[in-house]
Amino acid sequence: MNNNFDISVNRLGRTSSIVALAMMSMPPIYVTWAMGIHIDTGNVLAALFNVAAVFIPICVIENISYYPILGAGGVYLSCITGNIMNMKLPAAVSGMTIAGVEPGSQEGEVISILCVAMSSIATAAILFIGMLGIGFLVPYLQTPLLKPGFDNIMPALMGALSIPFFLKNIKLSVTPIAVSLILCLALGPTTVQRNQSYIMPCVMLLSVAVAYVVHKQKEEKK
Amino acid sequence: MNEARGNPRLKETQLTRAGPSAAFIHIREVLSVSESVNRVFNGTTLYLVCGLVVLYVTVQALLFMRLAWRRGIELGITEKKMRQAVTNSAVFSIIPSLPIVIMLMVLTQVIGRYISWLRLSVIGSAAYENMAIDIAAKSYGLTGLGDLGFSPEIYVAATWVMSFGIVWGILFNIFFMGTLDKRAKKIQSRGGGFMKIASAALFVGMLAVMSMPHLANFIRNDLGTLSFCTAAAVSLLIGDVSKRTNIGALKEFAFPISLIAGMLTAILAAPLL
Repeated sequence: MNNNFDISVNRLGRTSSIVALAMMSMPPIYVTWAMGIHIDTGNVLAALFNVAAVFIPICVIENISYYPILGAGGVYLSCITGNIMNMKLPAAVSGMTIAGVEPGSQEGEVISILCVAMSSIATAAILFIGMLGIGFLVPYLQTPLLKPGFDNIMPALMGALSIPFFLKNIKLSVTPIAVSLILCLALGPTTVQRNQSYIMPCVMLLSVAVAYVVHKQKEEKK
Repeated sequence: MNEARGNPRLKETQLTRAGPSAAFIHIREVLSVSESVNRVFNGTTLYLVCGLVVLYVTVQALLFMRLAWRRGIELGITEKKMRQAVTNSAVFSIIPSLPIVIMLMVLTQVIGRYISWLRLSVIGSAAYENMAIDIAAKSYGLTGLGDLGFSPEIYVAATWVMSFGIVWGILFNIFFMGTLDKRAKKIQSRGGGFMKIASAALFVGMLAVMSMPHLANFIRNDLGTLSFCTAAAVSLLIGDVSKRTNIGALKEFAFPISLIAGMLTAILAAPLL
């Protein structure tokens, strides 16, 4: 029943991603042409290779990790506009809470796409204003008075996002919270954050595995 | 990739390699000294080219929204609920976008206004962009971002590296997302009652890894732990009150309000701690 939607999402996702890649090559092509410079392909490729070595594994692991929560449509969109962890994911998840739908469900995917898209548009609009009126806001944002607030956006965001969800799913949350806390104590919170892309899929898999064992045991008891 | 902003390793790289703001000032001088670089990188044509890309990304988001909205109605989600979710998303996104505006100002001094605007609008991440410029400069034998030997060629090379060093997520989607989605949906349809539990388990797993470092970081950042707890408490409180009173607007703005409450606590507590 949901096949048509899935096909449409993947078709739109793939086509619009290919077009996005083509569009993204316009500015470098233009500056190369306008400057009349012959760039050294070897140097550029070497630099690209260096960047790729860091980002290919991170990109692949993250896309697979985000998929169960954002759905295919959400991942297509958020990969193009970026800022997934600090904006797209929280926007989608708080949207799902408001609409009363579960992540991973069909309804969840619809809300995820709506919220990720809106968040992308909002950021694009703010950056456009920021670019035009360059600098007018910055002195205010960087005053020592407000600085602690902006330094702590991520903790505040994660607190508002995660705790209500943990409380709603207390039994499921025990294992991943315990494992994450132990890792934080053993390796230090900074190390955990640094290696988040790699730790995240492991904890997610462990969380599902434990949930599965508990689920099986319950069924057997029945 | 897109998380480079939140990735401390990259932040460190950016700080140590990019050096203090003095480096940016030097580069700005170079940018304004080299007439041709300035003409192209701050020129109207580049503004239009970059604007076209940003416009495309916005249109793409609208197309996805239209598709999802129709599907939502098909699934029986009320328009009111969808509108509430979208409003929440728009209002919430303003606050985390503000630090990106600051990054825009910094990056503008390195590579000009329009490329910075484009890069932060599309797969935006300031730390990544600085790293890409830095690596591009090094591949030309310079010491990095702060080096004064930036030639026009390096600006062009940096633009290429910035644009294509981070496209791997998009490439992954083009080649593999369709298959991943098909397989996952097949498993989902066969999985029965467990699939709902599995989705929630995956999600709490992700949230735990993302949130616990902030909670556990009280030794190095007690303000962070405080903001975390306040935002959580306010979010729970609003959830509870909106359930009892049925005030729609409260639900709609619960997330941005909690976020601001957390940040405000940090601002108020900073002089005390």
